Amino acid sequence: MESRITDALKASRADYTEIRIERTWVTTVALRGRRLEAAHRGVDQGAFIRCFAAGRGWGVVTTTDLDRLATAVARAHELSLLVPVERPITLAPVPPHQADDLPELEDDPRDMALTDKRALAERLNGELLGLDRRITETQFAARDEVTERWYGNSEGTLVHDLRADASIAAVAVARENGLVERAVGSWSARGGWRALADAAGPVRGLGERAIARLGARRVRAGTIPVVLDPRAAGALIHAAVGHRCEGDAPDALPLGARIGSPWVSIGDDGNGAGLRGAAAWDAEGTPTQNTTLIQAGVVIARLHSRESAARAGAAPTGSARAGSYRHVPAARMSNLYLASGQGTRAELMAPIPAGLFIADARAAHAEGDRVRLVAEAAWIIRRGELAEPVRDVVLRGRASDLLGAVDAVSGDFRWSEAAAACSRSGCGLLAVGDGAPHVRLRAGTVFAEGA
Amino acid sequence: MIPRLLELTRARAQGGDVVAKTDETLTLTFDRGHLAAVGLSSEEGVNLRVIADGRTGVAGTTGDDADGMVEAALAAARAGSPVEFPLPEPNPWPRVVTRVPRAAAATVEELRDLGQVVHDRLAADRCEVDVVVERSVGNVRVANTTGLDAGYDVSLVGVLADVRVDGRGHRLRGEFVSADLPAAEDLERFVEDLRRRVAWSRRPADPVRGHLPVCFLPAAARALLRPLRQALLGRAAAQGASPLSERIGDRVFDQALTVTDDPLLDARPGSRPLDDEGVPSRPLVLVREGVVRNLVFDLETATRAGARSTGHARRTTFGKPQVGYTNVVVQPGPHSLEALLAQVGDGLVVDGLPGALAGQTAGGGFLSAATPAWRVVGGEVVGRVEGVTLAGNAHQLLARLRGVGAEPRWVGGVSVPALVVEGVGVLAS
Repeated sequence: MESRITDALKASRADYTEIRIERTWVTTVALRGRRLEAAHRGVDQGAFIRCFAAGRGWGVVTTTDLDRLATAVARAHELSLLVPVERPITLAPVPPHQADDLPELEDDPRDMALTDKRALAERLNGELLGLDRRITETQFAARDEVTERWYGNSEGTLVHDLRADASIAAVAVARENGLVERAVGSWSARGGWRALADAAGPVRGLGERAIARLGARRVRAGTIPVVLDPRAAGALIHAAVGHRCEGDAPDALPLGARIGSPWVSIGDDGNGAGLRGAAAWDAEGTPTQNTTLIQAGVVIARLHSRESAARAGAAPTGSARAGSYRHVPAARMSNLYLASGQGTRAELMAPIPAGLFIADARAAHAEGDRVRLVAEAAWIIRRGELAEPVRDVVLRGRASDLLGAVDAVSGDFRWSEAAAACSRSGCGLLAVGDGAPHVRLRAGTVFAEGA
Repeated sequence: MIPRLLELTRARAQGGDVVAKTDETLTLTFDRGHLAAVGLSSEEGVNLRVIADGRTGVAGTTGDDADGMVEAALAAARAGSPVEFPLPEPNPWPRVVTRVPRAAAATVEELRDLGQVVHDRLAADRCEVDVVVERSVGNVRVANTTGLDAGYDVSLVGVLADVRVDGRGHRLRGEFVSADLPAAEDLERFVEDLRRRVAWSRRPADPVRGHLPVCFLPAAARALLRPLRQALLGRAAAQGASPLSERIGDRVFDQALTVTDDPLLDARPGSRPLDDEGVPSRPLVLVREGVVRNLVFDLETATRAGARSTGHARRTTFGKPQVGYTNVVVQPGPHSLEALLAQVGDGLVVDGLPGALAGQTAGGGFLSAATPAWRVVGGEVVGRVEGVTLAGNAHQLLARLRGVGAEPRWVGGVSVPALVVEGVGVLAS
């Protein structure tokens, strides 16, 4: 494959050319209740090619035909010639390099029989269905993915890597006396299925959460102290500031802006071993890195592709990511984290006479500066202790108000094991990680969804 | 690749079927009237289903390894679900236009000129106009081990315009999609629809709340029909998730509502002579004069419901067949836009319900931002309103139509006129 890429690059008449080839092996097993909905295996392969001629815009070709790369490169060059630009394209420099990152997969999902994956899925799904008679319905999906990727450009960079992931996603529906409640969760692991064989405990926890919601009352709207668990805190920073730290975002945060209290320090680690969104290189062949974006509440850097870095006069951060060979790379998050502080969850909650604890987020969105986080589970905090569960909790506010209200961050940082994915219009779906400790907001505005 | 796949499948399994699709899409993106990017994507994908030892397994690939593909499908079958249906025999299929030669042959330059014309016609004071033009050509081939082997060519042209008025969040969208290039009158209608809404948006109006009459323009009317479309999918019925599956023959909706799925309309994007499992296409009445008539099925969901496939299987390269509609057509009514606004009197016009397009909605309940939206006073549009949310049950709203427009528009595979509904819950934030 390397020689196909270098031959096609040599034949290119454009001023800059890059080729990214991806081959992905996927299997899925989906259950609904005890019924098998689907067992499927797929191989998705294709090439992304883009180039520009001097003084012209990007010409982009994607193709599933890997035997005719030179033809695709020539077509991309022709398309580039059709695009006039006011400002010529410039790419921030990255020294050419050749390397590979091909880990020995000790637990390669491609070597495991689909019947064994089905058995694993049925066993975990059975934990949910057998938990309690009130769990009346489940949905369960087990999926694995192995991706091999080759990237080369006309500057001489040529890299080759391989990654494997396994993930499960589950929905539990609990019913009692006409009430219906759902709980949703997912887990993922780099490498293969072994790491998820022990997911029975967390899966049962999901079912228990659906049952707990049956007895919960709706939260009363108000502005009260709020403690977020690491998953909820991770979802909050992703929606509130993550996208606005992406260097090509139209509403990117200006450097020097204060967006949170001094307890808020946020970074993105594209390189950390074993993290869900990590890789050695990004989709432009740039080495990935750990980038501090917000230090003590102040924006100090943004995530960059080579193009956005050149526009901003900054260095690329190895953040050019693409959902697949069908997508153009853009400056995106990989593993966004809120840095650890001190103390424990108990110490964060102790001084709160009346407040709310939010565990995990079902969804978190931002529209401009306004953020909305829908809790997956929540409990009242009374005299510093967890009390009864409440349901339909939504936390909302301006990003700067929510992060400005952070007055304590615990020392129990952890990376989320959720199979999280992030989408942005036109850029495809990316596996992302997030990490955080427990976080306390002096005051957060909460209300009941649908009220 | 298909003959090889079928040969291997016959040799190693009881049977199977395959769908192969090719697609070549040119995308031209304009930024304020200038061509900003051109992309070409070409994709060939194959989806194979085998039946082995009484179980089905599915595999898909964009590659060309037929042996590996059959191996993968057999592996999936060993973990797969029991087969409950026979594959269709070869049948004569109806004629329908799915490819228009002049659209398939249009050059990049012609498509660029089309985008520029649309931009120039829409350009106006204090408006930013972004345009995307897409043109796809491709082929679909469906074959199985019982002797079926059918194929047809497709073409598709899409023009999307995104207009921002006053540099604010007030965005108006227009779309034209067809197997053919837009004719002069198509472009005229496209531009006039957008210009009318730009004119309405020039001034802000006071927000309102309460239970009000609302005119749902086609894009919003399509969103209002989404729960109905979900509830009539055979899959929802098989899972017990549809409130309509037990109500075939009942008058659930207003007498003015008639909805048909029609795969045999010439030159529409959803049109096809047969579905992706090889079942011949035919028009199907979903709702006639308010009475629920039919659900749509593929082979599997039909078997589970004790019914026959209605020819609504859709297959992509990856995953198993899914039930889906082709071209959904809501029968137009007698009312002009002026008459519809007069029926509203004091209320709202709404052109989008983004929140009603997410998640499982077969039950009909929705809570959604209404954007763009305009205030109507005395039967006249007086200006745009921001921050409006609509809440209610779409099935109930479709049971009390006050007016049905005479001029339907195609929006995302649905042809629908404007609809006026009374007593819609309007929340203001």
